[in-house]
Amino acid sequence: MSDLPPSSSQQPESGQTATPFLIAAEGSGKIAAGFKERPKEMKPSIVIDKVNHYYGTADTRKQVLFENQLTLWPGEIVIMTGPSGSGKTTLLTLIGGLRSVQEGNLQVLGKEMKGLAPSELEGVRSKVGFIFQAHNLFDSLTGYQTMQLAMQLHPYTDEEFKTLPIEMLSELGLDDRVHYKPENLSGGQRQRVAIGRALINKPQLILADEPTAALDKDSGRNVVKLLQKLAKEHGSTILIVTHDNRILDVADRIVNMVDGHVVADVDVQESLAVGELLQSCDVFKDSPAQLIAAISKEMKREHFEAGQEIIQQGDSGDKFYVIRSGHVDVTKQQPDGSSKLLVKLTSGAYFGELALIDDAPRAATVTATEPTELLVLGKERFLEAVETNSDMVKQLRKAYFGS
Amino acid sequence: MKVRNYLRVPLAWQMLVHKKKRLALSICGITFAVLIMFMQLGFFNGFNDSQALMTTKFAGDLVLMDVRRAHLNRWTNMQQMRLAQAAAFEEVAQVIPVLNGNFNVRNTETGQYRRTYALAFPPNTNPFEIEGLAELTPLLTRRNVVLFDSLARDIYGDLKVGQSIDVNGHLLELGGLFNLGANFTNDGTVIMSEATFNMMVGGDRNQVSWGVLRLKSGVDVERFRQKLRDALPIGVSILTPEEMRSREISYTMRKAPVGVIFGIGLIIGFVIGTIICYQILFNEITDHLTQFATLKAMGFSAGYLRGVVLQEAALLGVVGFIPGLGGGYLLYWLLEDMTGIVMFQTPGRALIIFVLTVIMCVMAGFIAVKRVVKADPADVF
Repeated sequence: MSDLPPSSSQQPESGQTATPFLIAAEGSGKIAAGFKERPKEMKPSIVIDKVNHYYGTADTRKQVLFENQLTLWPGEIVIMTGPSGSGKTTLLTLIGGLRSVQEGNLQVLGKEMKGLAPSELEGVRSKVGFIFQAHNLFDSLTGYQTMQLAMQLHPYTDEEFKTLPIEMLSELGLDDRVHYKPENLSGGQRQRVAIGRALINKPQLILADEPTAALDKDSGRNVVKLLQKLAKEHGSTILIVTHDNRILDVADRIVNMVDGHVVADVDVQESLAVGELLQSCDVFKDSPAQLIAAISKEMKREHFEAGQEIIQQGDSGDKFYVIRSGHVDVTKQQPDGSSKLLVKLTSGAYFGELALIDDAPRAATVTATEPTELLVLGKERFLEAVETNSDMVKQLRKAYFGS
Repeated sequence: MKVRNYLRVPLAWQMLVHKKKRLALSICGITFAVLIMFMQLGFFNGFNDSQALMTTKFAGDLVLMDVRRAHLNRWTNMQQMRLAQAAAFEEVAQVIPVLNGNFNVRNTETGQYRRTYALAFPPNTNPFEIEGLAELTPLLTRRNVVLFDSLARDIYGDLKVGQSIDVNGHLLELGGLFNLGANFTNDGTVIMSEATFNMMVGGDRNQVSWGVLRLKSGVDVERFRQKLRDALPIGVSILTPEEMRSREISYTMRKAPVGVIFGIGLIIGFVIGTIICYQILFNEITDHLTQFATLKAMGFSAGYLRGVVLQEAALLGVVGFIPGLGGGYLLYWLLEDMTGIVMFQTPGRALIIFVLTVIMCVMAGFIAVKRVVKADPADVF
């Protein structure tokens, strides 16, 4: 009796080249379809490590951020959601160098932000592109002058001072509005000028707070699409705080904050890939797509080194595993004491479901044969997903127990 | 070459001229303050200068007078003998005795007598450089002929050349008109010969008010003054006309309260201007607080923001000064026409007002800029 269904170890590999981020993981030479891997030399743009923040002093002191951990990478669009007052904006202002870090470590573009002098903070800010809910444009400056104003922060040639603003405004579809003041622009056009102001210096990091709040549906979408296009071209990290569900689809990752805690950090592409993978597993074949989507967001990544044991035969099972990348061997201890290799599993395969469904001890031992990344789901959540389809359970039992 | 250019966009200027209506009001405010300062400085200088006007008319290298005659309206006289002593020096080309007094001249229409400043000197001499006087001095060889100031205040009625003029009850002949000007103490000036003067005051007292000394060409004035100083008793002052002028002005400033009054007026104008300018900048900053905070968030330093506000303040000063200057000249012209008191506007004095205006605006800028520096970029989010 095997711990795995026969079909799942063969995953199609055709999707591997679909995304530019799909780079083979070190050692394995193989990663499950739809998953991305970062080059080893890539440095994160933002590292938030155990950041706490408080407002007020003494009696009125109130903690607004709790032990937050978050790492953002170049080229990522990250959307941060959460109820108002959850600390999103506070976190954003800390990252942008608009507030001083009180506790914990915060690295922005390779610079430790804690204890920076005001002039050093100004230096960090000038490397960040800010987009605000309101456009905050000077009503007395034309789009052209607004670009030049932002350019004053960095060295440019005289020629660039003349040409870059026009190029940027053209990219934003404002080529016929270059010398217009905000009073003669529509809301969407103003916000585009504000975006141009944030992008003109080609910042490695763009922070946006509700950039679409003041815009209608179409302008909002255009603005975000534009942001996505320009940012991908420049390879920047974009962090957008928003309540606007209409723009969630541009995100590479969605971070949810509640009451000062990062409660979810979902890699959209990753969870989509996980979802697809789960959907292809027999156990989840008939589970509702919504549930699969929810589960795929909850799966945690675990890393195992070559030779490390993942499951020990005879243990009680409490987790379900999907191989993200790497190889594992499934071996079964024979009554005579020798162990028999049942199967070699590679990326895209899953294991560990049987013990959960049957509430039985693990039937085999699973060991990583090379550095392996696994996606892990807890027992309760797994059962919840599976039991929504009682037919499925019955079928499984039938398949496994032949009854 | 790639350079960081913080002056590429003239932000201060753009902000200033963006709202035309507000700009017009702002300029009116500053212009108003400039006008107040122009008026006060004009009055102040007009008062001092017109009080000292006479001293600038002495046409000589040195002027002798009694040491107690500390200003133009002190009447202590000097022995005429001192002039003879001075004339004895070979360096001296000419000594002209000058008498002065206050006579009453009758208004031809109302019959009222008006107190009038009187000057007298020997015929065929001219100790003064008064416009139109030189041509008229030959007339003074005739007794009972007097000359009158055409710029005297309009209180004497219609005085016509060639007709009679009543001075201290004597009917004299008005020989001609010169152009001198009135001031706060003298409404008009009458000039006559020494003989006519003595006839009016009743006899020659061998005393004179001033002695105007002209030296031969090439004589060192300072050295000769020392020589004369040693020869004359200490009761005689020897001054150049320029020294008389500055002594007169410092006396007026010290003794007459008007200098203080106009000085305070000038300060009040300055303070009003500062408040107006502060109010303008305050509104400007309040309206653009989020924009300024945005600039901070973008990485602009507090120094840059301070620069923008101070630039705007200085521009406001310059822009407000120009109509103020025009208005100031117009008011001076009107006042001179109405009072006969010359305001003596000079480029140097206009420059003083200009500098005061810019200082006024920049000071207001320094007060207003604190608000910008405090703008918290974290509030923009």
